[in-house]
Amino acid sequence: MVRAHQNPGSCPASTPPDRRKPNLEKVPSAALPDALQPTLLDHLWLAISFPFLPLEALGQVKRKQPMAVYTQQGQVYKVVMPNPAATKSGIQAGMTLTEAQTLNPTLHAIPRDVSAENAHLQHLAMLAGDWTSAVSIAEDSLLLDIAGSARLFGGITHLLEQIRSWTASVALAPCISVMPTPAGAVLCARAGKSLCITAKEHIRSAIRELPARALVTDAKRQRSLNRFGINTLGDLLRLPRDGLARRLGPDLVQQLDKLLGQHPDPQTAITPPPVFLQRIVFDTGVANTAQLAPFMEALLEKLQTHLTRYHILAEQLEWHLINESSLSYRIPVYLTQPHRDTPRLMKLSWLAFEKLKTKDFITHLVLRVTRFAPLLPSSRDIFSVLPKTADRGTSLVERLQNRLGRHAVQGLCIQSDHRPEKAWNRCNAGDTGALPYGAQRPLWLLETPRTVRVSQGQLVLGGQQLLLQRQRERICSGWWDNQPVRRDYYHARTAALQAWVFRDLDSGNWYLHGIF
Amino acid sequence: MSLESCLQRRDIWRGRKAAQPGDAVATGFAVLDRHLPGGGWPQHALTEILVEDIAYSPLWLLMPALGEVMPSRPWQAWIAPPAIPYPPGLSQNDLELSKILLISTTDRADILWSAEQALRSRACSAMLCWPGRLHQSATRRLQLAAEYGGGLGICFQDESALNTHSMATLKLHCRNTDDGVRVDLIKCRGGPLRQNLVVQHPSSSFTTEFTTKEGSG
Repeated sequence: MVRAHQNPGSCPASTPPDRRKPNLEKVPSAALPDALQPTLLDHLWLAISFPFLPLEALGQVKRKQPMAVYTQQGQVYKVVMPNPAATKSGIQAGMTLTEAQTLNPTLHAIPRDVSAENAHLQHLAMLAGDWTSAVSIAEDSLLLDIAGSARLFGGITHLLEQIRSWTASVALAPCISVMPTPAGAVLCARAGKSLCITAKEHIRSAIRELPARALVTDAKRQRSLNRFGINTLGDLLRLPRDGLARRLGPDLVQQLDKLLGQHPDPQTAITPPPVFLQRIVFDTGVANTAQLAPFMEALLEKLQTHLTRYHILAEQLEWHLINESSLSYRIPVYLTQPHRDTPRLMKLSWLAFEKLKTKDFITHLVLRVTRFAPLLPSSRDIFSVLPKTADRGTSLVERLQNRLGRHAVQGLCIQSDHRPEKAWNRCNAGDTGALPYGAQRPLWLLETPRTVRVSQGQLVLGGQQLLLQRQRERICSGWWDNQPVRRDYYHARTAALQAWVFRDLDSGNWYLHGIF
Repeated sequence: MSLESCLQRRDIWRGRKAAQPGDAVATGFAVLDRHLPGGGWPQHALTEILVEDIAYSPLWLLMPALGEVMPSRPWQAWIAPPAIPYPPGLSQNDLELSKILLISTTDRADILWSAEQALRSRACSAMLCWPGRLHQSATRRLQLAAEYGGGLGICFQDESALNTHSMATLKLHCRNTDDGVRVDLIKCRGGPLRQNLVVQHPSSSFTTEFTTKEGSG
């Protein structure tokens, strides 16, 4: 009676009665949501619950022997999930492990692995990406926004069929529920109620028979609800909002609002890392690297499709060649500027390949890209000539780096240090360092200072007398990093060159350090 | 073929005066500017500089010209230098360090390949390289690359290359003196082969020497 009073907008066609596995094909098609106006379908949520997730994550579903996943709660071990064989011997979730083992001494108990469950769910979420780009994970269920893809797959009925057959292949007894609100979909799927509802006004009637404890999970509130005599969600929805908020907390009211679509409930979709990994296997093997070119091109074209799909650019490519004796060569291709231009990537890859010399037959060609850069929208100035030359510059650096290696092509910069050998460094090409300072410095610096001989009070360098000039520069620095210098630097000259020499104040020896 | 298009060609010699503007960049040393065809280091060309000791290549001779051409293009390539081109010193000579590409490799084939790439790319205002001994065909490749790319191509070699055949536009020999170098032109397209051009080191003008007493200690 209460229900009749409560249900002005129920939709019997789209809410099949409480069968575990409703057959949607038997539902009259006119009543199916395809007939609905597209404006109503800005979001439609499909939730998939995996009741046996703890077992599935451990890969133990198909065993015939009785098994149970347990977890530690305080001092006791409790059964989280018995498998069907264990359930037959009366073992239920929530029992202590000792109880369960008394019921069936042959029970094989496995500890729960939450991280494996998460990983398994992530994996399933990736697979679910086949149907929609908006997949999110709601605790132990998957949530798919199928509003955009229903049409692509020929209507919700077809889409549901496909998803159903997929889930049946990857999980044990999954439950799928479609609802206009994410919270509603998850609630129904978790409660094992397979529904397909597309209009918000039908939610209320669809969920009213669900037990209230499906929504209210903490024990204290469940006890309160028991005291109020409320068993189903229908009872709960009938209560006045203000009283409910006062007695059980405002968040419960908000939860109910989310359930009915009266409160926004945004979901964050999982964005898979756009790793690109493609391989080509040669049955007979390829002896000559030149023969690889067409296959490389094919892989690069696939890469371009991939990059376009994700709106990203490649930053570094990695080719792997595996030969008959399963040795693998790794050939990285560096890009100074991320891009996705296939001919250019091909040229650069080819440069990197030129160095490779192998006599073995190559059996696998793998292209792997893990480093990406976002594609920044750019607008071009029709008068500007500059970008072209800049582009030429980077392509030169790319070419050099790909043949010689990254470390071989670098820039120079100044570092703020008084010690001459530390006052410079190599850096990435094009980077700037500190500004120059102070006294005149030579154009060449010797990596290791060359000893200057002293003979008869004269400094002799390579058989020539070294004449010092008057200015002296004392450099005492570096006590903080255990490479201290105490030196007096002089400009000097021989018959042949203008030199920069120093006298080490600790040892008194003379050295040539630079050439002007 | 019109006369105008003939005049556009760089490989037609038209006497000293008629050289096209932008064909040479002033060396910054009056003696050299006066005697080099075009009035400076030839652009679109390879210049070979032979020195007594490759480890002490007279960089100072090139500094004014390198500074002058630097703003025109994104890079300046230094390939396999014999010592560290010292950034504070270069910076004091008005070179922009962020434009310098230091290419360190010991493989001769790689040095020549990079030199050619740098010259050909049109992204380098100058390319300096220390390739060891240059074969004639290598000088030809580099010369052609320089003609295509239009930069300043400079190769330092030691005196063993004095009598080898070269396709470079300019080949000169530097002998050290006590205040600079004495330059002999060995090959010079479009000009007479001058000898004994004395170029003073810029910092030698203010020198007063003394022998140090500390020298004995």
